[in-house]
Amino acid sequence: MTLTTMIQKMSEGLGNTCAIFFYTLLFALPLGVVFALLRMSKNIVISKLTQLIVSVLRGTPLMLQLLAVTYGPYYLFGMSISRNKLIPVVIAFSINYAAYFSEIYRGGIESISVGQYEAAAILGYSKAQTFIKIILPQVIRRILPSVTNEIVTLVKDTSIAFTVSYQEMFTIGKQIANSQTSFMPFVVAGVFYYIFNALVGFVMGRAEKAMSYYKQ
Amino acid sequence: MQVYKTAGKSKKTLYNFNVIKYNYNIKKTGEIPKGVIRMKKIIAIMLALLMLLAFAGCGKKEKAKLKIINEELGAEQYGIAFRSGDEETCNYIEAAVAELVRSGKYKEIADKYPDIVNSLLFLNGTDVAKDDGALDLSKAGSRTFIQGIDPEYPPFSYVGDDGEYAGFDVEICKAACDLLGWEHKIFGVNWDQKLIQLDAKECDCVWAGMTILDTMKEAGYVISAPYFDNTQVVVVKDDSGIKSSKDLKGKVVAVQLGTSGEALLNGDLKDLKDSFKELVTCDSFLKCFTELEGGAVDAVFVDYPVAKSYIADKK
Repeated sequence: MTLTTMIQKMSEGLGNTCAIFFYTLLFALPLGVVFALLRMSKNIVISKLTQLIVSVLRGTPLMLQLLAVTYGPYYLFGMSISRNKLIPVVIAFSINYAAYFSEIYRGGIESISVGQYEAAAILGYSKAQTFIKIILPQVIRRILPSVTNEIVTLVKDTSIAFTVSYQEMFTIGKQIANSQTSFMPFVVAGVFYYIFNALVGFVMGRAEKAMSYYKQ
Repeated sequence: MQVYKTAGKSKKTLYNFNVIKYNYNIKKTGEIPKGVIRMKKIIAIMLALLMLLAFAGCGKKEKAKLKIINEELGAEQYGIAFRSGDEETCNYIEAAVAELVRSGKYKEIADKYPDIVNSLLFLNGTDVAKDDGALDLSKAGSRTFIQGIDPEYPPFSYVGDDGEYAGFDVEICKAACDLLGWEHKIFGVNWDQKLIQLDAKECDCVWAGMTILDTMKEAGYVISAPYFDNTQVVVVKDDSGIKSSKDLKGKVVAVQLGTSGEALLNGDLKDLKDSFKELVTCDSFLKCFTELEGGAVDAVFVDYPVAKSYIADKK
């Protein structure tokens, strides 16, 4: 097998890898806000319950959660296993990453000083206006580096989806490595992941620049 | 009082301080409210119940019935792989196995595995070793011999009910090591990396229902005399209506990554593979069967003895 065919075969799997990546971001970023707000709720039951959920999601391996979401319903209730593996994979990835994002958001929101809320109140902002117009822009700017960290990890974590027989790029790489008894597919996979992450880094760098309209 | 138009676009009097309603929830330190402790207990109990439910669910559920399609799709043989240049170890192991066959111990162990006993070559008159009897087993010296196995490959190698590794290949290797006076250890390899792990000396052989492939010999690995006749078969659900490999057209088929079945589908049986809707690779064949039972795939491509043992186990 030539290098070109190898790269071509693996690029076909790259679509599946990207699917996990984009769908997970699509669902995990907003879901993280929900988790963060519930976590900061004044109702102690809601707050503690969310804390527990987040601690379980962060405290157990993603691989285990993938297995639980994919095969759990079958083993527990005899439900059939989804033919489209993307669905359980995205569910598991989304809730897992939402847990991490929620803590990043919470850290960001709580880092804003109380004085700003008071100032906003004096200026007559309502609670919602204070959050959206004053707090949120600062929070986004502050949490961007941490969020980039998580997104970079997400790119690499997509390879875990093979645990539930999802055919992504790294799986195809392994198949080729096997049939060709060659190490080359792993090198190609490494280059693919690196390029992917370089793109992520570039985009997030631009986003950070766009957000730095004032210096503190 | 003067009325200002504020940035918040609402008209309010300037000195209408409404700061008090922002309750920043500054907590008294050190004390956990009683409600929290009670809630933690309730959650713990709920989780425990959920776990019990899960275990109960596992116990009583009936598995979907599976069957093997009566069609042999590829004949092949199992052997033991050693590192290249390690002929000495190979010769000692072969001599020890030959001795086991002579003494009847081999047959004794094989009889415990009714699914495979009929296809064992050494019990059907095939010679074991190339230089049978030439080696003195007592001069094998003392060493540790690490057997590389796939821990999810019954009946050849698997984790038994007592949590220890069991299986035909494990028992034979153990008996052979006892004869040679070697210390027997087991290492569970990652099946699709087995030869790399062998090269890295994580194990001294790969011995777990491993199909002898030409590519292994070309790569220089020392391969023992074949000991088992194997065929690839297709396993489907009993009520699926699939009767032969021709019916697999447009179906989703699962195969374990790194097995000879996968190699076969990418080689000699490429036309068959191209007729599938999709070929799914799993990291263990047990997962392939779970996918089949759960309805995620229509058929599993697997070695005959493994299929037979799995289906017998489920009854």
